[in-house]
Amino acid sequence: MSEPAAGAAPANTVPKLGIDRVCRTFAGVGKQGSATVALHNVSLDVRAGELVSIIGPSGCGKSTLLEIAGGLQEPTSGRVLVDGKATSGPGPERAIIFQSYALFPWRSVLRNVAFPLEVGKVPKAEREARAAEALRLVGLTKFQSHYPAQLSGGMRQRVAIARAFVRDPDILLMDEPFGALDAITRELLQEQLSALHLQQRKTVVFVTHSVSEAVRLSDRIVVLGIQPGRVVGSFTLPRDPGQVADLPQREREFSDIRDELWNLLLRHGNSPALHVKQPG
Amino acid sequence: MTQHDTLLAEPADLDRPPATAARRRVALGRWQGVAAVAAFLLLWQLVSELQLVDTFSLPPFTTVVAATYDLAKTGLLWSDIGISLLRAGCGFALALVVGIGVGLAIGWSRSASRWLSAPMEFFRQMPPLAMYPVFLLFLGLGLKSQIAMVFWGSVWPILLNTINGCQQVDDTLTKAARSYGVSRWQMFTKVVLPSAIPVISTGVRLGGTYALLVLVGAEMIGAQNGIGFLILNSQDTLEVPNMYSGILILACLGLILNFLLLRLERRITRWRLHA
Repeated sequence: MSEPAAGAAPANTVPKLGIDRVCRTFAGVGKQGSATVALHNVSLDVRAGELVSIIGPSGCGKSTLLEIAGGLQEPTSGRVLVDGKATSGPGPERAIIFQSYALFPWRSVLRNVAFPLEVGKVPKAEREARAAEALRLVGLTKFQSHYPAQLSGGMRQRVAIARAFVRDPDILLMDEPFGALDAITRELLQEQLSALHLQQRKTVVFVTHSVSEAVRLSDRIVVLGIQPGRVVGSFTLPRDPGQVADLPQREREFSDIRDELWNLLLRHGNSPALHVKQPG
Repeated sequence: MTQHDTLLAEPADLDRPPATAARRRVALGRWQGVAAVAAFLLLWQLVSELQLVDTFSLPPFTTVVAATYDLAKTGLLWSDIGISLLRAGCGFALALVVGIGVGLAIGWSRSASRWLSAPMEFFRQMPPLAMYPVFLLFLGLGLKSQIAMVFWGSVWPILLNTINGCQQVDDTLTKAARSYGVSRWQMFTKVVLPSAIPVISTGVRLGGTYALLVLVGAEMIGAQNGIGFLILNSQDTLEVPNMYSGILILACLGLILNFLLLRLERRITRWRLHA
């Protein structure tokens, strides 16, 4: 068991984000269509300041789980708790970052970042100042009057990160945020996210399908299996509190965990041949 | 990576090389277009001058220009253009208000669009000319019926594009907006409407073209003035150059209208041009 990161709450207090026995069933399509169980009895506690990765084969419901945590979907049963209190729907203490950036193409970078504040009816001068500050954090000050179409994929995702940060949420929910980026940009943004996480002390839930990304970034990795989506494993990866992590070094350090993760994923993948020894 | 005030490095400036090659290609394209039109007019002139066709049925281009000049001098042309623009303008304006207004209402409500899309498809298939007797019965002979025709001809593309535009909103954008807690009204004004605007403006341009098309038909069957009347009447009275004047003027009006609507569309959707 690792020590909680410096500044984070001790392990015995209420988790920042709690997923409590969440099930999600999708009704079948057509007459014979049977209902699909996307998530079965998933529980997960995330401490304040912790970065937890959720990894699993495609179709394991990891994106569904993230949307439930973000309040975009309601669970069929179970609860989502923030600071121990059950929530329903989205809230300003949580922000979601999507793989496809989800920037509004008709808004300039600055107005994209200011969007959450505009929704909350923050006065114009204040929201522009706060948006500019968030852009400074991701190093895009010079690009505030550009449109998203003028930016590279990596820059767009940084705008999306700035937009998520602008209301200063406690919890960041990231749905394969770097999945659409090329390898070099991806690596850069991993470094930057890691540094930003250290500086801002956010609680992060990070959905990915990349084993190495999960090992590099996470304090903890939760593995979901398929049919139904459920937790099949969990790994803790201790790190030196308060110090910028050397990500490639972390990947080497936890190579045994990486191998174990691979084995677990293969065992719970969606290939029928691999499906046989799936435990009840 | 060391930790400092700005965690992420400023990327290099987006200074793109000035797109001179592309600009030259656009300029060349424009020049080629002008040359092609000039060639067409020259061909017209020659075919008529050399009497390859019946000169009465196709007078030379220069004769048509002269006839247009005469029409303009008597002032008759201006009043015809004026009344045509009034009819087309009122009908098109009405179509804009109704098409966009009703379209937004329908597009915003899923159940409304499920109920109304079939009847709308049905109405759309009724040609404006076929509706003219109906308009006559209700509105009588005159300006109102003419406006109703133009309205009927141009409202459908505007209406249908508005509905489509509202329903084509990118799912991840609505998700992102919902995650920031937008109200239903904010979702409409800040997400649905702006993302529908490019589709709506295509419908508006189509509607503008249809407005002029229908206008001519309406003026030919039920008016005593206007460009459509001028064209048919000139043929009746054997003033063939005047007939061609009317046709050319209509083409020019169509070009101008399309140019203006395109300018407006580019202005509103400036963000798309950067792609």
